[in-house]
Amino acid sequence: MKVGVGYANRERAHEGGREAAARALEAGGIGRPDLLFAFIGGDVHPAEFLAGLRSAIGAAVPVVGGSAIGIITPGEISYTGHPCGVLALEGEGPFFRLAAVEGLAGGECAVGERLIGALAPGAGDGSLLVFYDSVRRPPADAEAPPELNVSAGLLKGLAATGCPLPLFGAGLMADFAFGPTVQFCGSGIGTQCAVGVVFSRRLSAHHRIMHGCSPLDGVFHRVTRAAGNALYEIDGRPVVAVIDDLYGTRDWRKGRPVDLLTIGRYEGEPYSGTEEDRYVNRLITGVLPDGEGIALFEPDITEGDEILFMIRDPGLMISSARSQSRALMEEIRAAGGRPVFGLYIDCAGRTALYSKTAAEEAAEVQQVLGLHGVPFLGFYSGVEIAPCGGRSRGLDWTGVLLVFVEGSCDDR
Amino acid sequence: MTADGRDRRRSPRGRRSPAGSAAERRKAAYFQAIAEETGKRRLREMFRLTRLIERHREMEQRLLESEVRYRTVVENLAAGMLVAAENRIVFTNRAAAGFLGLSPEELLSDPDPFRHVHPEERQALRERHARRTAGLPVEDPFVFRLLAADGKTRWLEVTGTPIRWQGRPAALNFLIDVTERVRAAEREKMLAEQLHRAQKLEALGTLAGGIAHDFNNLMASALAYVSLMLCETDPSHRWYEPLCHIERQIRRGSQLTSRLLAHLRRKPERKSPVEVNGLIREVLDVFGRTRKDLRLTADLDSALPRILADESQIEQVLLNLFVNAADAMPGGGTLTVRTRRRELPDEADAEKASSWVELTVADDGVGMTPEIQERIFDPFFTTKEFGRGTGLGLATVFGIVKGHGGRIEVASRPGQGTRFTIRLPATAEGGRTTRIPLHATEPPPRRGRVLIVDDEPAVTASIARMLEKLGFAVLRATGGEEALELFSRHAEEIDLVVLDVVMPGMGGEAIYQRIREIRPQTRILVASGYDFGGNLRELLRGKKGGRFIQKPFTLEELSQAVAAVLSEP
Repeated sequence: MKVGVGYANRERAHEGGREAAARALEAGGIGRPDLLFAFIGGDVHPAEFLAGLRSAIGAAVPVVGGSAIGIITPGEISYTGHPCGVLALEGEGPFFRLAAVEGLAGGECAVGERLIGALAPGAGDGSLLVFYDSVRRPPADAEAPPELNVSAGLLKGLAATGCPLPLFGAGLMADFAFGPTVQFCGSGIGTQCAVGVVFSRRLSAHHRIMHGCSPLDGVFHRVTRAAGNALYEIDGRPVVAVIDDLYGTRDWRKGRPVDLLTIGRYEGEPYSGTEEDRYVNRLITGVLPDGEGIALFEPDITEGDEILFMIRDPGLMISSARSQSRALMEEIRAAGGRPVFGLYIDCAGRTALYSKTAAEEAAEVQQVLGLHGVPFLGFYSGVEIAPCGGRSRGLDWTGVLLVFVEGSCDDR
Repeated sequence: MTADGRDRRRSPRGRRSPAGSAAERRKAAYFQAIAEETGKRRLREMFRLTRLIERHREMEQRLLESEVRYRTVVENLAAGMLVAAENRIVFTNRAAAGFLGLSPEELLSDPDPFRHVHPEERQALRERHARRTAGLPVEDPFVFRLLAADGKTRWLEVTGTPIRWQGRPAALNFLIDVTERVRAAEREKMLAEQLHRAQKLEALGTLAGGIAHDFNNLMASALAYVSLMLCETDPSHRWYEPLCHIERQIRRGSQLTSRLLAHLRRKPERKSPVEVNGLIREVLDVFGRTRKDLRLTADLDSALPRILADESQIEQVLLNLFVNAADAMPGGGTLTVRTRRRELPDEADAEKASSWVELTVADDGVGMTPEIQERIFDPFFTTKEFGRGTGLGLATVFGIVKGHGGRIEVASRPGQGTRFTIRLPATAEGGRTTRIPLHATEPPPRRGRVLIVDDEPAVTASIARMLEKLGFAVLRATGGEEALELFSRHAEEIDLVVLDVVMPGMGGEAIYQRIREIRPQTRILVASGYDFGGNLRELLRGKKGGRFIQKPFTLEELSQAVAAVLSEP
């Protein structure tokens, strides 16, 4: 399989699309690509970008991807200007199927069901990638939180027929302000869409989840009032007051999303360990306009659940990116597979800009994959989807590194 | 336990901590309190650090934007801006480096930036820089020359202020390109000088014209007497040949004054067929008398066609090129003039060829660099020392040649001389009239009365003698009023008036008109050393009974002129 990655950052989207595609084809020595992954920054005009892209690759090649807060390639980490990234694949024989379904605003679960129905994964398939629109409705004003499409509903729909494949993917976001997003759905551009790609077993997907949060104090709290993605009370107390006490100030309320603090849920046998992948984190997108509660990125925290306050840890984030990338590549090498290409689905909160770190954690991924000569395309997302705790789920504050391997070894 | 008294010790999956002894519960509460306090401190400290980092980043961003703003302003200034410390440039904008034709990086890495300053101002600029960085007063602005990488010289005006740059004393300098201003001032000064010189030349011309006029009168008188003597001397007489020689010399002297007067005069352009070789010989003849140190050679094409030109302008072209060549050979040398007929393709139709007269003026003097060659036809450009050249000679040549539809080229090398090649369109029209031969013969006898009006008694006397020799009775007047008084009394008896033009008091023109008023049919022969213009020429043009004769003249010339005017119907 031939793989090439291209990047451009041009104010004129058409030029950006053409340049990024041309570079990808050139880098991979690709004459007739079978599939393209393409992601673009929020300020890149999608239709002009796609027209530019098609001027380089032709009208027939399917393009999958969409909006991203930033782009990561072997040589670039960019979330300013007009970044766009392209990964081109040319295989010998069919190696994928794709389908796209719109209508997320009408119900994520139904879209998931229709998508899995269209893709019809079977025994010959190896993995499923899904990219969907994270933003159902942008914030009405600066004070209001956005209305989001949640991964839990989509995943529930995808799992309804008992999808046998490991599922990876991302909730796409175009910017930090939860603005409108687009999806590249194969032949065209959509919104409120979910687009899925099933890879054949010829390409096995290996992955690692990079974390970056650790328990604040290790104290569990019970959710005593919640509705949808809104959390009102823990342990019978207003959660906003509890968080005020933790910060010692109300300034945290200005954060959208909230700085440092996340809500975590312990996965697995109680008290069985403190490893980072035992915690699933939920981003606090902000305080509700009436100040009565907080909004979470996903609505999967319900009354009666035990939660912990987690704190974003920049040092852990960077060391996790380094150690997990290395571990993944060592595992692939040990299994004897040939890594073909990578996808890095990285939470936008992990950017140096947002994390207030001097270094980019994605640079660790660049370095490790670079050492192993694996071309890859990464992008900054709203939600990351990967198997965790025995099932695929939506994640926050994580980086999901996928490496596709030609050979017979199975996904770990 | 927490402040609200609730027991929040819970296990994952909602299970409470195993109940234990009071001591165990106290111990668990103790650890939880420590964990909570530690967590709070960690969160608060990180939040504080986060805010700090945010503010730092905002400050960085503002600084960056400020830096971009200032850099944009500084880099786009038309004025040059540079900081010098310890005789090195430590900062420069694009304009300052651009004055030198260098990039900012090249200027910053230059170990001796003062080398770009003209040697005459280099030391002064060094001293100013030293004084400024030492905090001593420096008079601003200072204008100096900069030697750019392309070899051109720019005039810059510098002002500055002492500053500290990275802890060291330095000078912030602002540079403005004042090349155009300086050149304009130079041009203005040159124009003033030119005007002054033109005024002096005009005064000199007036003086020279007066002298030439007087000189002409002297020669008119001398020529008259010599021609009378020749008339009465047998060619076999031993004095006949010397008298002929005297007559020739007087004529040559007369030609000199005639040319001088022609040169001083501003004449309207009058194009007529001109025989270039003849003109070259004449100008070379005159020029050669002033520059005995030069060897003049002429290689003239005997089959050269004529050109349609204003003869005086072509004469001016030749004279200017000769003067230019002579100035290029201060220690003497050879000036070569060459003419050739050329058949060159027609500009409008390459299939056709047209005839051209090619004139080459070459010297073996000091020659010119390509840079000088580029500018020699520019008005006021001169390489001669101040006060010697006007910078208009070759510009005039260029203008005249172009005005005649011609082309001019220059080829030169330093130390190897210069060659100007001029090509002018040839014409098939006939040439100018031949001059009157000098040789005199005994004129036929005539009868009648002639009034001679001339303020110079010697001239009047000589003309009277010639007219008497021709058989006329003569009346003489030395001024206008006397002439009119005589004419009024003898109008019916006077057959001819010989009238001078330039006279004190009433001039020839006024006398002419008055005589015509008194007796319109009176024949008048206007005699003058000038090829005069103005109203008198207009009065003579197309009118019967009026003629012109150029002073000085021989008996034969006078005889022919008189015969011509009297024979008119």
